[in-house]
Amino acid sequence: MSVALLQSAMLLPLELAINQMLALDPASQARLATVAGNTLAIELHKFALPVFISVHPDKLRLSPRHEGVATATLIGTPIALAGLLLRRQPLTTLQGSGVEIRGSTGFVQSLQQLLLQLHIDWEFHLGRLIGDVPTQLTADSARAAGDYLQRTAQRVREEISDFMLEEGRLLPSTAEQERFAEDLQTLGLRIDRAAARVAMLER
Amino acid sequence: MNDNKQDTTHFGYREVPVAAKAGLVGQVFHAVAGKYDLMNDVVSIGTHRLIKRFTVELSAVRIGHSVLDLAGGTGDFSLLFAPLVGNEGRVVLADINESMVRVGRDRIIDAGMPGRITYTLANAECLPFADDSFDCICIAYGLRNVTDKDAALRSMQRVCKPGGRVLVLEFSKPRSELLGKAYDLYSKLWPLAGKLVMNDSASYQYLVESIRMHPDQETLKEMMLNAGFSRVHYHNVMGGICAIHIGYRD
Repeated sequence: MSVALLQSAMLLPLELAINQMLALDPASQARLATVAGNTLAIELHKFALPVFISVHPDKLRLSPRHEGVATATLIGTPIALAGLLLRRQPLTTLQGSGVEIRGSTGFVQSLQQLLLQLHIDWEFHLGRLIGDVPTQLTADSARAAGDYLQRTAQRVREEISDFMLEEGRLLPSTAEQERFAEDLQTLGLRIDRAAARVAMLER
Repeated sequence: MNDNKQDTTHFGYREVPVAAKAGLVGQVFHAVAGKYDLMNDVVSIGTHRLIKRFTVELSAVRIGHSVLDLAGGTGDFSLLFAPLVGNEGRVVLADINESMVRVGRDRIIDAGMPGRITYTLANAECLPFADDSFDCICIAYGLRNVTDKDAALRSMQRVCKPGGRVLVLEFSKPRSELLGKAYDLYSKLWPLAGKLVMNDSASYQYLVESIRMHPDQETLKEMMLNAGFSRVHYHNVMGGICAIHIGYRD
C-alpha cells in the first residue's frame, strides 16, 4: 500500500496548486459551493491510474481512489482532456473532442463553466508581493511581450498560408477547392443517374 | 495468580496496575503536547501527513456527515475532515488528555474552523455520545494507548450509525523481516530525537515500547469483529509499519 501513498503524494502538489489558484478568485468559492458533493473521475488512456476530483464547499480534492460512485467520468487522452477543460467556449458537444463522458454531463459543464469564469487579478496579487511599481513594470512588459507574440504568430500564419497557396502552389486556393467540390457533386449526380438508367435497362 | 494478571496491564514493556495506566499515558501526553506535531514530523520524516491523507481518502466522508475524531489530540484529522463535511456536517474532536485538546482547540481556532469542529474530553472506553451518532469514527495512533481496547471498540461500535464506518490507524507489524529490523533500528533513535527536540526521551521510549506491545494486523481485525463490526479489513501502509483497519456497523 506504499504505492497508494506515492499516488496520493504525486497528486498533492497539483491539488495545492489548483486550490491556491481558486483561492485567488474569491468568487470561484461561491461557484464551487454550487457543485460541492460531486466527484469527477478522469481516466487517461494508457494510464492505469484514475484521478478523482472531489468538489468540496471551499476546495477541490484530488485522489487516486474514491469510495463511492463518481458523478461523471471523463475518458480520453491527456491532450484531449486538457483541450476540453481549457477551451474558451462553453461545452455543448463532445463530438470530435476525442473524449468520452459517462454520468452527468451537467456536472462536467458546471466544472468547465467554473474554469471559464475564473478571473484572477494577477496584478493585484503580484502587487501585494513585490509592490506597485515593479508590478506595473512587470505587467507592462508581459503585455508587450504577449502582444508581440500574438502579432508574430499571426504574421507567421499568414506567411505560411501565402507560401502554401500562392508561391509554392502546394495547396489549392479556396475558389479552386469550391470548384472541385462542385465538380465532384456534379459527377456524383451523373453517376447516380447513369446507375438508375442501367438498372432500368436491365429490367 | 490469575487475579493478579487481570489487575495489571502493560505500559510499554512494564506491567502496571490497570487503574494506573490512564494516568501514566496522560503524563506522557501532557509532556509532549506542545511539540507533538513537530515530533511527528521528525520521527516519521513527514510521512505521517501522507498516511493521514490516505486514511481520509478511505473514510468516504461526505457533506453533511458527522465525524468523530477520537483520540484526536492536536486536531490533525479534525482539520482534514472539516472541509469535507461542509457547514451541514460536524466534526467532534475527542481526547482523554486535556493538554492535547488545548493544543487542538488553538489550532482549530487559528484555522478559522471553530464552527464546524467541536471538542470534548472523553474516554474512548465509555464515549459520552448517544447511540448511532456518527457516520464515521476515526481513531489514529490512539488505540494502543487505551487501557481496555475491547471496551473502546465496543463503545465506538455503539456510537457509530448503522452503515457507518470506523477507521483505526495504528502502528502495526512490518510484513517483511528485513523491513522490521530496519524499522527497529530506526525507532531506537526516537528517544534520542525526543531528548534533542523536547528534552524528554522517556515519552518516546514509551512510544517505541507501546508500538511493540500493540496487537498485529490480524489480532486487531479479530478484536474489531468481536466488538461487533462487520466486513473488517485492513490496508498495510509502508510495508505494515502502520495499518488502517476499517470496520462497518451493519
